[in-house]
Amino acid sequence: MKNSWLIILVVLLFTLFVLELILGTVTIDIIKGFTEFNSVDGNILESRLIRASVSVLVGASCGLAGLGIQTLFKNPLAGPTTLGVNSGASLGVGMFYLIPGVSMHMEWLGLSFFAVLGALAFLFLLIVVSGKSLNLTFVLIVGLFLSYASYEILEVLLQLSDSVGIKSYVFWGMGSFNRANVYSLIALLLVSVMGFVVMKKYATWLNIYSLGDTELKLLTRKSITFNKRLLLIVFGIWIGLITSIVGPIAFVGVVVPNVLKMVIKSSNLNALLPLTALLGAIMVLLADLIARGAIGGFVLPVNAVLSVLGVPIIIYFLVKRISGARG
Amino acid sequence: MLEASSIHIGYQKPLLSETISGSWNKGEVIVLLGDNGVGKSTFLKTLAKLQKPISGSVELTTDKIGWVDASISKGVYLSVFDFISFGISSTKEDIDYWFNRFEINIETSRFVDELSDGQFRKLCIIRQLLKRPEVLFLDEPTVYLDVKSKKQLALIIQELKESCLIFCTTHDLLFAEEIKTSTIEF
Repeated sequence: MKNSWLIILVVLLFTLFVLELILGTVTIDIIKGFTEFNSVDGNILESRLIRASVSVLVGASCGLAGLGIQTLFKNPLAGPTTLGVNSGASLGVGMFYLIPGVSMHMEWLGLSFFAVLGALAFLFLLIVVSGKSLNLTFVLIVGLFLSYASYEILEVLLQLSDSVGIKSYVFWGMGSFNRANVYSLIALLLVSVMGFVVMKKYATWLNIYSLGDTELKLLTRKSITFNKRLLLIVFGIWIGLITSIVGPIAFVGVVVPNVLKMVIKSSNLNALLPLTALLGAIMVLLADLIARGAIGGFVLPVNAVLSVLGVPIIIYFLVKRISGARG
Repeated sequence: MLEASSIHIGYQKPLLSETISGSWNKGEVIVLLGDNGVGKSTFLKTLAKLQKPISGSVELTTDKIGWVDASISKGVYLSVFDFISFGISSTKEDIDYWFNRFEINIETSRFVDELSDGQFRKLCIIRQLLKRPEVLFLDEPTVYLDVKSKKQLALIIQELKESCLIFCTTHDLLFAEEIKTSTIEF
């Protein structure tokens, strides 16, 4: 059953990936694109290839990071936004676009630099403030307040900024793959592989973790706090990087793991990891296909497309799930 | 296989004024009796090395420990199979055997939070038995169990004690009478 899902998802992902290369507002000759790199077709194909790869990695990463954070916080509605790290990235981007002169004089540093800096600063604050015991309820509350704080600072910055800055910032917030380039692709690939490997290594530990601390102590005798802190840092860096490259498209991280757990009727991370990566990639690839006008012909924000795709699905599954559970 | 040398149990300050010492082996079923809050569970946690004693020491020669109490999580999407397989290498035969013994007939693909409290309690006990424990701690295992299931649990405990040291807290005196080889009163 799980294997057949795996095959279906792989085929679907491959199909969408090919469609992402072929379809677009401009029609290109794929074979010519691959054989003649310097032709117009070759250039367009290259940019589509980067875009498709970034979509796949972002989707897979959002799904996996969401799954990890839900497991860590033992809360199915937690997600990449729970840590507040993405608010840090937003604040960094806000400073770049909204403080007059910053984007002009510090352009050489790049938008991603500010986003990553913001995300890491918030992650650092979160880890430091949450202290030695690492009570995750406390982490959750601190994350929430960091988000509020960044939101309020951004409001002040929005008041002070000019219309060009505001427009750039708002468009960033809608999520976009337009800024993706080879460098962001490489960075994303490295961090995604790191994240996946860490999650794979901790899959069994996290499985037992979901049963409670007593079982964990009896079966593993490893330091729970150390592992929790390590995972928080890995997820934080991961989410920070995604947000810095494509904007806040965290929604996938909530939808994909919930849907998959209900479909395969299990919380086993060993089974969920590949499925989550695949379904996340499929969702973002499909959303990008629609968003950039390859299907339908309208250019839309990625986040808007994701919400339209994802919200009905998640509500359907949640209602089904809640009506089944006792108390 | 389990030895406690003048331990003071508790968190910041001792729960009991006197220390506890003792040495226990396979074949024994020690029943702990006493009012709520006197320290029975804390004593079990200390013996299982889940918690450090304030003073004194605990020697435990095995790490195959079974632990049943109300603290285990039902999760949101934990299936019955997840619940009895996470961190344990149990075979299908073992699972079928215990399901039959406890007379529970549920699909392993169901979510745990769909079960009744009694079914869930049995599943908690089964999970610990699948670990093939050498020491088994049962903290009020009969809660939510019907009369028939209590009898069945008492019978299973009798069989298990050949290969296992068992500690059990309970407020059910009939059940205690059926299983005990000795008691500790708090």
